[in-house]
Amino acid sequence: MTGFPPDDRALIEGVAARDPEAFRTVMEQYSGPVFNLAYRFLSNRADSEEVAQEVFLKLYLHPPVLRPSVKLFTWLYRVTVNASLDALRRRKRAGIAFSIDQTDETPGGETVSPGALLADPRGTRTQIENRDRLRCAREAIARLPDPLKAPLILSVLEELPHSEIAAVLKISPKAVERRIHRARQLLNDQLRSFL
Amino acid sequence: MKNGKSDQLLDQLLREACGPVPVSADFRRQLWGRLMKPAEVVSISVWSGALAAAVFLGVFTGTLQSALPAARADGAVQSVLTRHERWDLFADAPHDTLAGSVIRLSTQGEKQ
Repeated sequence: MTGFPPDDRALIEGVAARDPEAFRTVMEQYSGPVFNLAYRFLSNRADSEEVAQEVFLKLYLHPPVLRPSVKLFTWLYRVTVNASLDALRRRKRAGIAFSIDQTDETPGGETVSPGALLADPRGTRTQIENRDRLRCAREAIARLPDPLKAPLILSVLEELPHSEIAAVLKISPKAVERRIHRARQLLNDQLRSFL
Repeated sequence: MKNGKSDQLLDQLLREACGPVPVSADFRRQLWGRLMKPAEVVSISVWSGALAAAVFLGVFTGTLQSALPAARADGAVQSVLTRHERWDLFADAPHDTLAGSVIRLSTQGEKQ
């Protein structure tokens, strides 16, 4: 997943100096990945767009001073993770358990028409079962405790190495490994019937 | 390894369930529009805050100034104490202004 171009120090300095063109370049490169990372936590387009806007607003108004060893995407991912977890806590306080998009664009969210069911009952039943399977998987991730959710998403879905995850979350690589292992145990228990 | 195989299946399921979602066409445009406006938003907030503070101070000052002469004229404010004190907040300020507020404990009304 980390197919980002190597950091261009001039670009980072441009962002720090609030150069609009440098900022536009960063936004074009990273708005998709930042949005998708937020979506993996929130499973809701509107909330994810709100978080992504928040991240870039922060970058623009309070540009970080990055040491040469720290990558821009590490900072962006860290802010995105924190903002997403904050959004999840706000939802919880508002009494909303899940707010998962069920639209045609989400994997397994495709609507099934009665006509399709009549035309191809077996195929359509398979499609419905598959949709439920994927929905259960997303809900299982949503139910993970926050400290386990972030390492799992960054490892399995973003495919970051443990060392990068440790840098994003500011924890040790060992802690990353332990948390991912624990998250997998919980998910295996919940999704065993689908595996 | 059993655990390895089960982890692989789990990861496959999770990736299938949480695949990438396309960014909407409007998202980047709205984001850019919002980012390019923060200076206006900040200046409006600063001016509003300054205006509110000025109104509050004006009302506060006006209220105090109108209350002071009324208090001095009120016989009940004249103290029954025998002392006569004067408290100038600002030594050279006129006595009938806020800066030159005077708290006077006087026996003038009570001299027998």
